[in-house]
Amino acid sequence: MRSPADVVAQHAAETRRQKFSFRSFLRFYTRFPIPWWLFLLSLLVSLVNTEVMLRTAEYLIQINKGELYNGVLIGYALATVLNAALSMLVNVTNEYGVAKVTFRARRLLWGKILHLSMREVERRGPSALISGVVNDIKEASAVVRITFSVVASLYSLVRCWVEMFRFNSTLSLYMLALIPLALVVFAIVGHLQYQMMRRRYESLSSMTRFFSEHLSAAKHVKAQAIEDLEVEGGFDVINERYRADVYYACMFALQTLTNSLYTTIGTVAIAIFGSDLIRRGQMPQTGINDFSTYRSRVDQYTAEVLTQYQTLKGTQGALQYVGALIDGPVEDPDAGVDLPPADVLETLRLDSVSFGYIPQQPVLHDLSFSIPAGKVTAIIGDNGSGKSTLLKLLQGVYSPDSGRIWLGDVAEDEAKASQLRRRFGVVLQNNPLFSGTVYDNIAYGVEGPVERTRVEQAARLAEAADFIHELPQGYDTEVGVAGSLLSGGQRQRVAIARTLMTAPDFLLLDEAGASLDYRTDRTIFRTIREQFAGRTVVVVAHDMRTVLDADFIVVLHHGALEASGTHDELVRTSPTYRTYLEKQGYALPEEASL
Amino acid sequence: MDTSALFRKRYGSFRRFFAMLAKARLPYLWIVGYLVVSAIIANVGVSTTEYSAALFAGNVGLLTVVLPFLFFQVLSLFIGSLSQLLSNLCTARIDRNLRRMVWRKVVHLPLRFFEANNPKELLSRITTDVSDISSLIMLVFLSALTTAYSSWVILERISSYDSDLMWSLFIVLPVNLLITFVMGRMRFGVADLINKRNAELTASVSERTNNMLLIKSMATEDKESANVGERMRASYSADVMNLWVTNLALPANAIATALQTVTIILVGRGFYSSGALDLTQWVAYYGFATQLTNILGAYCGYWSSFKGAQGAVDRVSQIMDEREENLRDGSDAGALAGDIRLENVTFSYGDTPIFENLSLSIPAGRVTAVVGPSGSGKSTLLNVIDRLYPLHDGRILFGDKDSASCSLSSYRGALGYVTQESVLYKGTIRQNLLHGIGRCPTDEELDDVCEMVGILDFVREQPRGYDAPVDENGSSLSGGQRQRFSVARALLKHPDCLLLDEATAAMDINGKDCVWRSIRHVMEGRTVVYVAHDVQTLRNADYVIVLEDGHVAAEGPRESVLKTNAFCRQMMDADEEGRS
Repeated sequence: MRSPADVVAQHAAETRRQKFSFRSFLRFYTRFPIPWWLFLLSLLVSLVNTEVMLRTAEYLIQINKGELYNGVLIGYALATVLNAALSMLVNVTNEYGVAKVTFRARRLLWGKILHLSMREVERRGPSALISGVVNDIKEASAVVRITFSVVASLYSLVRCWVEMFRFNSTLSLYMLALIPLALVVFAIVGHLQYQMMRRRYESLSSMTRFFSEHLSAAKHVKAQAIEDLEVEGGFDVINERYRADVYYACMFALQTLTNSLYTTIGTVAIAIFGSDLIRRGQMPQTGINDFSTYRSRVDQYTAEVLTQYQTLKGTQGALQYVGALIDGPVEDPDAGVDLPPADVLETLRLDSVSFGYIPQQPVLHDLSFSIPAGKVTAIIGDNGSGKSTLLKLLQGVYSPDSGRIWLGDVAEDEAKASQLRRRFGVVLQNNPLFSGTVYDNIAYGVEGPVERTRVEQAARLAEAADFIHELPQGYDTEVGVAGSLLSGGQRQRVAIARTLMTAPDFLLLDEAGASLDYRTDRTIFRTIREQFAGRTVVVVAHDMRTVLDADFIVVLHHGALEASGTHDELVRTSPTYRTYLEKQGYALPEEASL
Repeated sequence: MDTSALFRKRYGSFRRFFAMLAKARLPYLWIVGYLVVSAIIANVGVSTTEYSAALFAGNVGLLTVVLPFLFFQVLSLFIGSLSQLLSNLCTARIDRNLRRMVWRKVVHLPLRFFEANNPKELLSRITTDVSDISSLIMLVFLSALTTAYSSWVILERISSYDSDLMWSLFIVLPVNLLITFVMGRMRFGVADLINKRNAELTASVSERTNNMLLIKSMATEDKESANVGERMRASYSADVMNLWVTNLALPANAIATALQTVTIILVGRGFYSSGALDLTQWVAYYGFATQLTNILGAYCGYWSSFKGAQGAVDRVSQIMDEREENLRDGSDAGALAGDIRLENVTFSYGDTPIFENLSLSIPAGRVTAVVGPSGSGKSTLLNVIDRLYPLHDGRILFGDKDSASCSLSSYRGALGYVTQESVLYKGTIRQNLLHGIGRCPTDEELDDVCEMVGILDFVREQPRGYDAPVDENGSSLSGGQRQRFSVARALLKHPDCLLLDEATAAMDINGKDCVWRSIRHVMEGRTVVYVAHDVQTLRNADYVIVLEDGHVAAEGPRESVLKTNAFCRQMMDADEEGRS
């Protein structure tokens, strides 16, 4: 398993390469309220601060000239402090604004993600979505601040140029000639930066992947006695990382060299031309001091503007990703017609249903059959025959590519999705829990306040009450991320209790007993049958005992319907069913084997 | 608070740290090179400052000032880059050596260690903790030397103008250091909070995004919108708090810097006005004093923000203190044959014993199923047979050979063990099949084995056959496919004895049947022990052992155990119903 941070970093690296688009930028900011006044205030203060900064520079020049009067010292101290106080104000307003935008945008985006269709969630991939909420949104929000900062920095840059020009125009003109050089250096440095960060990132992610994969397989390694092989494999990725680090070190040195080369050329130019000017009496004796001070400010602001430009360009990927999500299609779970009242038993009817997760790879072909109301229906078939997919379609979390599913007289695709899904309870082979207490997890699907007695009742029915009482804090014990602090069987029982709590009309069980031991499995399902007597239960199972308990059986073969009917009918009509019975040691009726 | 205990702990961790460094083979030659270059930089820096001071003061003689100034500028440019390069290379080497050391250690630690430590945490030992330690070495320890030397060079130069001036400067420095230190600590605390909040947000978002199906099927979108919204608010308030702390530090810092500058100037002004310093020397002095406070300030910054490294040092050195498993000592296992006998085996993972004086015998050359309710010790039995854990008491014999006399690596190598979680790594199908079997079978042999476990069709369907890629943890494959590959790998190994822990649980009815037929065929005449999870797999056994609560409730040939044992009868009762 890759850590979320790792995944997030990879995604960030991928999106960084996209092109600048002003449209995605604008669209993003029309989506939610932005505290413009904070950013405007910050801009205003930073313009004022430029003047304070220039004043500080003048004091500094005086100090360097040896003009150490009390007035200069006090002025310098006050200007420095004022400068810092104003900077603080600029940053606080800016960052406060960004924090607000991030917060609002995040909530909006998360709402969108929650309402994406399952297909869309799969297409985009969970890791990219996570990175969208955690990282991209942050980058995107920072764009507002950067835009304002660019204006402020440009203003300061111009002001410094003007001051420098006023002080000595000849030398300033020489400096002007250095601007193309600055741009070239900046481009080179940016390119190197990208190269070395990418290689470093790639090596880090392959190292992280290797170790996380291999550290969780310790038992396998020990059992196969392949420690030497492991050490070797680890050394390979460590060395790969080392090579990337060495590359980084060289590129970084080259980058620093290029960067300081630019500064040095400037310094050298000032020294040569400045000393010449002084000798010719066209500049005061201490002129190099004055000029260098202005020039260091000019350099500082040039760097600021260029960096901001680079950052702005870098946020394009994030902006586009977030923009596409916010503008993209979502499901509205409350759109559509109402279902008939819950107490009326309805038959589920499939009408030529076909479906594939990816268009070219159909999983289910042209399925038509009915699932009788108030009965237990078993679905059987080999791995990959589409049993689990069928359950997902029944519940409406995926919709068929063609054909329709009818719940009584209502077509599922026209019904309100939230109502429809609440009618169904699902227990899978492995059910995720969310971090939180056992209690929270059992009460998870219930809207509104929950009575404690109901939770305890559900836990009892799911055979979970005993182990919960033995937990250190009983129902208030934390289950850990994805329920990792509980054992597989315990997780399963909590999940069953969670489903029982929602009192669904239709219960879908997808190998729900596979991670329980045989005894618990039987007890729980006896309870479930009692609880659900008169309601519809659909079971996917490999264990023929469960199948034999069903009233109606559906046999799938490579995504198509092989047969459906009762045990007696299928023994005659379905070869798969017969093999299954045989393989699990059930005797076949005489006339069937003939 | 018991401060003496705290000190003892600190002392202990320092001792461990240096013991660890001794083992880590630091790149001493590179480090010395880096130190030498840093020393040269300190001296070049002094000359650069002096010549630029002369320029600033209007001293523009071409040969006396301008050319030497240019020379030192260019020199410091190149040497600066060189030092940067060396420093990064040292870090890279230290990282590599530490990582190799930790990984070699970790691989050889007993299984208990991996159970007591979360794999995700162990991962950060090797990735981030190691980087923290190398930064600690470079930025705190080595930096202490270079900072001290540069400070000394600068102070010496100032004292060459006037020694009193240097001593006066000494009074100013500690104040400066204290301020930087306090600021660094404050920022570190808030940064910690931010990281925590962000990690919480990421965890909560990723937990939900990865289980979107559950949210959809429970129709709890609104609930989750509110849940994660809370985290977002928490992250927002941490951000706001951070912006206040970092930014309030700005004016505080500025006041400190201004005071400091004024003090430096006040110290120097007396000497300048009395004529002890000329203008050039004044400018140089001012430059030096600023440099000095910057150098020391930067050092303090590292020091205060590297509180985190202490945790890293503790964690890594604790791993290095762990006892390794002794893989090589003992005789070669050779061919393991004969009945497997457990004699009075006592074993526990923690405090509650799993087995107490357990004795049982598994017949050689037969297929034996282990059944029992969950928690009865079925998997543990396989674990102790494979000697993944040391026994508390008792012994395990293969025929007449005591397993404890064999070296762990040869013993485990002779047994095949397909664990419950089928392990596949990122790579190709071929790499996964051959992983750890120690030989290179031909494609025909691979075909045979894959056919036996019913996965050959799947391999053939892949455009690149055996060279088709497998994702991380085999996540591109279904549970049944992963189990088939795991069994295929175990069969390729030709083990003397094969242990299987629910190794066919995820397969469908036809799949199980096919795989079990193959296992019986390939392992003909050799011993197979497996944990049976359902009636169908139980049918494949010649011999059955029923465990209940760590005791043998029944053992014997399948038919007789199935008839007499209550647990088995209950397990098979549906079978009876089916017949009737």
